[in-house]
Amino acid sequence: MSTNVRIEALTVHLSGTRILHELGLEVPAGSFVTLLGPSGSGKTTTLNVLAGFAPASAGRVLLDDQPIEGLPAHRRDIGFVFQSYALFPHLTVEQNVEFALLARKVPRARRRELVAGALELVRLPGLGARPVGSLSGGQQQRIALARALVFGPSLLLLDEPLAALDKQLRETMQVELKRIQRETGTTTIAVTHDQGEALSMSDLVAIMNHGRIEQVGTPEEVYRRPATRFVAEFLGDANLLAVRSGRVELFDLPVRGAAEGTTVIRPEDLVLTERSAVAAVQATVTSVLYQGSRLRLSATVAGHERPLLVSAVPGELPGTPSPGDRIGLRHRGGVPRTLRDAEPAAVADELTGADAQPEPDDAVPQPSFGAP
Amino acid sequence: MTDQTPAPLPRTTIAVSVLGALIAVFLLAPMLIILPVGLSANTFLRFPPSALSTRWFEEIFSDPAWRAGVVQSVKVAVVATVLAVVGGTCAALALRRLRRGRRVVRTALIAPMVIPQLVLALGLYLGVRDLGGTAGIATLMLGQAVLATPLVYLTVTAGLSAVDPALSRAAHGLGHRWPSVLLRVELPLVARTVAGASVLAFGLCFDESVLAYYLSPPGQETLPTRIWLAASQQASPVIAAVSTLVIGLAIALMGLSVALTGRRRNA
Repeated sequence: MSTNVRIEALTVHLSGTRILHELGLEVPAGSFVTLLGPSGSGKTTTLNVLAGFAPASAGRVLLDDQPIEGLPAHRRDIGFVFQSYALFPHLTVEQNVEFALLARKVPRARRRELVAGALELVRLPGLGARPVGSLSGGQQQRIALARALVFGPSLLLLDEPLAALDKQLRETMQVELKRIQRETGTTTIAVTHDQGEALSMSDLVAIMNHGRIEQVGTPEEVYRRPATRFVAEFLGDANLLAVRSGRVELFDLPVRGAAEGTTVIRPEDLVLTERSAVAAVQATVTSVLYQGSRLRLSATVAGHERPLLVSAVPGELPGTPSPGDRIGLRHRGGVPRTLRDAEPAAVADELTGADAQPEPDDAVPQPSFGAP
Repeated sequence: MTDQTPAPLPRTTIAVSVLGALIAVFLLAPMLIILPVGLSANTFLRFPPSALSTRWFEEIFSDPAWRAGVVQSVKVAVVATVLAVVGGTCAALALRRLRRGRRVVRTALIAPMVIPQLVLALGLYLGVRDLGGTAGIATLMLGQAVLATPLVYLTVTAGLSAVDPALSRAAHGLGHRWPSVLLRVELPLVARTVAGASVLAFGLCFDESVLAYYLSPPGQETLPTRIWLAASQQASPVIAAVSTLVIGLAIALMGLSVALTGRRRNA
């Protein structure tokens, strides 16, 4: 019952500015895909084009191989949750949720049933008669979800679904969004600028920049093996190190990919050692941040202009380093990959799903819901 | 931001307060003079009246000519208001969806506010005559509708600007075509503003005198025209009494309009 989505060479110009440039994306049926990018990267525009709220200049959008770009918004059968929720302020919760059913001429008894089911799904049964203005932010968010899902849409679009909530509620709603998506099996595309949100909620993350997709992959793939410098830096802290003749210069490690360029080593891939240890890089601690479960420190290395960021588990250290201490740093293991520049050609490769250097887990996964 | 108390304004000096009061008196004095004159027992317009009575107010309600004027004014104003409210509201809703040329259409819509009413009256008179008709009460209704449309358009546009555009998109996305979006979402959300705008439009048309003077056929004069005619023939305090009633109505309508548009539900 789930629908797969294919976006092909989608280009959007708005009043002379190019917002999207030949964007391509494959969303497997039933999966949760997040478009992640800074503001102005074109992610919300992509969502609006999918929903039919904004026109595309060129390109195609296919739901189960059926092109929809010619259809008006009201004939697309797509559920949309707005950042502001856009609940109708003059209607009750129940009237909001059944809104889509009225357009579909669903008989009254069946409408009741479906609305009750949808409110059950978002765990807000019994709120039907309340005016939406009396609900809290989290409740409004759930009602917006119920309204978007009640008619069994082929695709669910979420525009910054958690941006309007406070931090604690945001974490609860992340789990809830995942659960609801899993229970309904609705193919979902969400937009966010919060990398933590994208990594924790999605089956696939598409990182966008300047109207293009820089990389698509599972959260682990894009975090552990970013394809470009932008992806590496956008997804958390990154130590960017030079690659010469196939080796990471500083740590003398072999790399995968191009022999010359830049690679990324995550702060948690660096291990603190004794200064005298074999093959340790000599560094001087410049700052220490104790964060409870992690200890984050930055350290300078002679001949390397940017300080290295290190994230360690406090309990694993012999003692807590302090600024000015001289320490040794070692790579935890594994083979880093050389980043490539985000050039149009490289992006096009990514769109068709064919990476220049295929790796076993680079294949687009087909997540199956319902199975634990 | 919202629960912050606004910074106190710099203290107004006594001179500024006195000046403000004087300006208010200057603007409102004619109205304040009209009332006692209307309540005069004299046979001629005279201020201050030498004795008070309600005879002139009684005369308005007993004289069929004045009564006919009131009825005529109401009739014309109601029709013109309906036309203006339909036109102005449609224009406000439509312009929200317009992607290009919004400014041109907007300027054209509010043009009747700046065109001299005499020009409009003459244009309507000649236009109707050239089309083979006779300028009559229907022409007057149309003319007043043209005058009131910009008022309705501007009021409803202001009300619409407080409505999140995402609501219309949400309704479309949920499967509703535009007539349904209009009826189920957009109109209910601006209903109070439209009601407020209708009251303002009615007030404008009821008091309107230039078009009414030039376009109402003899014997079918509206109230303002009748006041004008009466004033040019005799200086009876009945004119002041009628004017008091008209001013009272205008103030009541303004208050009603503010009450309708000022409050927001679920804001």
